Amino acid sequence: MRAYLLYVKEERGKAQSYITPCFEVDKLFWQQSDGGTLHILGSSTSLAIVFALREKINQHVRSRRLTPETLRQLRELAHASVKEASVLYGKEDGQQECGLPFQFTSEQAEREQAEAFAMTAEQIRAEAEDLRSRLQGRSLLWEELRYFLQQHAVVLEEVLPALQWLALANKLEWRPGICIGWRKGWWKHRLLLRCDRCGSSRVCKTECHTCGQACAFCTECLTMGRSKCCTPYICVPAQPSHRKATTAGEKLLRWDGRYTPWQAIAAERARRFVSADDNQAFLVWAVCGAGKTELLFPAMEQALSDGGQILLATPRKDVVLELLPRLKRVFPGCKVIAVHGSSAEKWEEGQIVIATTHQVLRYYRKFPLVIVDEVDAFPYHRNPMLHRAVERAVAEGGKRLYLSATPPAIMQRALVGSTNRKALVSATHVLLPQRYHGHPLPVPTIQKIPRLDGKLRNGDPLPLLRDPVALSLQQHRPIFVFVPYIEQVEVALAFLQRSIPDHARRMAGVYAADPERERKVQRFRRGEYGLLVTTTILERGVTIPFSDVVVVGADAPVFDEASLVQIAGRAGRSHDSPDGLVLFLCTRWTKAQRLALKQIRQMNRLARQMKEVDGYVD
Amino acid sequence: MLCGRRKRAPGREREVAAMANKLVAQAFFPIVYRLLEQAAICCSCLRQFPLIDAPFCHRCGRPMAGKREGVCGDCQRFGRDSLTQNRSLFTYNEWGKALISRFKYRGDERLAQLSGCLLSVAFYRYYADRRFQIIANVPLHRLRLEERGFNQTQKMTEILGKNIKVPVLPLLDRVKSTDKLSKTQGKAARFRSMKSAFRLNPEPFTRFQGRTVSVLLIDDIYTTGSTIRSCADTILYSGVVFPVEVCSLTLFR
Repeated sequence: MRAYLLYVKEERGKAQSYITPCFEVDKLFWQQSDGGTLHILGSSTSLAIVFALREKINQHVRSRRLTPETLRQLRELAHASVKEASVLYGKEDGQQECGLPFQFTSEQAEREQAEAFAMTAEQIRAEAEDLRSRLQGRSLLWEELRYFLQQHAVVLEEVLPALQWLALANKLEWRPGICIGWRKGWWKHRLLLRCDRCGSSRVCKTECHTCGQACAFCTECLTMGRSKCCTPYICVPAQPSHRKATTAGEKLLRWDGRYTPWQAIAAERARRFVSADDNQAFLVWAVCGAGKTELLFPAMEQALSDGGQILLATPRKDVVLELLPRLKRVFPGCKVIAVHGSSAEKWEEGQIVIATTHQVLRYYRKFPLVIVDEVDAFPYHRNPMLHRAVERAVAEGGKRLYLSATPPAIMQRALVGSTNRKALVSATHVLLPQRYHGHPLPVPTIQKIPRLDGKLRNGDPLPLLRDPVALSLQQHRPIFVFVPYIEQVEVALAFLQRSIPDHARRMAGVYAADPERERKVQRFRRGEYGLLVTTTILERGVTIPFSDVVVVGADAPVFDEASLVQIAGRAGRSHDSPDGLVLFLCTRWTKAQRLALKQIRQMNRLARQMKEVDGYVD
Repeated sequence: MLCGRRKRAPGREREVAAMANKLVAQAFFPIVYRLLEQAAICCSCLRQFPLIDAPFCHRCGRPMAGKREGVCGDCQRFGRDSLTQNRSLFTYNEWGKALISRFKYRGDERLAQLSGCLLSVAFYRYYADRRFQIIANVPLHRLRLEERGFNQTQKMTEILGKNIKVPVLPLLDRVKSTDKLSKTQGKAARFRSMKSAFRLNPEPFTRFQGRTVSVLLIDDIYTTGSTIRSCADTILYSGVVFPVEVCSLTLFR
């Protein structure tokens, strides 16, 4: 069990407290730098509690002289706070009392590891620099760090002094996986537990045998490893990159596609945002099917020629895999790597890093340019965790470029402005309301059917659903049927197969956990299936020409404004058939449907105006 | 909870009732119904429970489809056994692997509630007519416990103990840090590596001076039975003077 020591350093009347897992290194470090006196306050195996105490003590100690009396007071304060935390922890746990409270001991101040320690400052410093060059720009949990160093053939226990050395030199941060805080209220005091990695306070309390005391782990980011009170979370900011300006003659981009005039303007805007220094964030708002990826190329080229790394974060693994060969082709001279849960290049470095959103959590102040694809898509959606991750991955003074067809309201307010009539361009955004083929978006038809769910289940006649679907099937237009929940895939499929028996064999249903998901979508693409019942998993990214869309149960809460707009955007994707059927069936109107309809109409109106003015030139 | 579907779906009560009916005799239907109703489990997971049905081996609970009733070949070969009987609720299939990997290896301790619930259901299915004085779980080695931070079997066992109101006592200590059993191949190798891996803590027995003590051992998975049998051996042959009987219950096998 590793114990963390809390001590106060006093030097010329100024005092500050520090945390260390190996006190000897601190002694060495301070001897070397300024030689203040160190007073040990106590130790605990839970990093979170020591961390919280440090904050508290730092506030207290700032303007005081350290006498034996004040030191005694500080120790008392620490013990009282820990006791209070234990009581609150037990109280919030409900009726049962806390079995293992938080522990903090001031006895056995100097530990016995003193004689075992035999390293000189120079050795540690050299090791620390080596470690830093490897770890920079990453934020890792202890287990991940161990794994990372194993890959580089370093044993973790031996690097502890080097890590602490870096922390003292302010080049690395030790943090607890879960932070503890006290909140005092007039009604009751509370203990705040918050995951420091993902920022969520959805934690699960438990008795931990690693630290032998009360602990908690985060349930939000559990898939990325357990972030606990006693797990150190180590963040190493990247060194400010030496900007090497490449020679102007060197062309990094090899792409011979052509833009439409509006696309060209948007691409130029994005490039100018990257090269200029005045804004931190930029939004490319382009409707579904406007060709967003291509718009990025000039901006990316600009960033690369400034000598920085680029992070491209997209919501799903399929998209990462699809983008990798495309970008490799377009930027032949650069190292492009794909980072996702099961990728082999996870711990490597590249000039262009394409990552799934969860992997972004593992970077820290690294990239001068971060491009976020589909900001409104599933994992980001109403999830502060991933926005936080993106903000963390950006280097000091770096830039964020957002791409979306349906940006969330907060982002619209921040980057587009709050007026109802939307401007097409500004310093912080560019709006592309038209598809590449220049036709308007199909406007959804909304039909209200009472007791829709029950009718589907019982197999009652539903001409409003059956007739348009049968028509599309006859005309050999592929049709998506979206349902809100997994259970309804089977129900809707059975209903449609029963009501249109002629085409029953050309229908299939998919959901996220379906083992045959990929194969079914492939067969649908090839036209072997004429109809695909699906949950929201296919709401974006899938482009099939001539397709029609029906949403059964559009009033369910999983369908919000953004997802309805995206679903409507599945229809009419090709040049030959720019309009398609978009039908929403619901039992009642919802705000989401109203707003989606409004947004689609607004985009079409803007596109029409743009045509009339004939180009919006800046 | 496990598969990401909604727990509350129309028709769930009916499914739960059908499953509870299938699982236990009528007398215990209300208890099992309530347990399953509260468990965080959806209809479709409920439907695909890989239950072990009769006929199974009277000794180790192995499913013996298509054979006559009795004791399976392995147990006959084993001869005199320290373990009176073992019972398991499910076969260890993909669903079980998903549950165990999330609970044990990913460390999602919220699943303790669900596993404990299923364990209680298993208890009512197989052991409702027996009386136990002590429940004990298979312990982890200290180092493994420190690394993982929790003992999944202990968490399950505590919930079982609370449900059936039998004390859970720390009967055993693990003194030998074996390799992961799932990595040890071969039955003989497994038995060899588990030999004298545990030590008895006789203190809980003192309160049952002189009476016959029935112990229920809990583990998550029964594969060859080497762990459970080693535990039973330790309990039986570590110099306890009064009569002891050991049964075991696992979630999967």
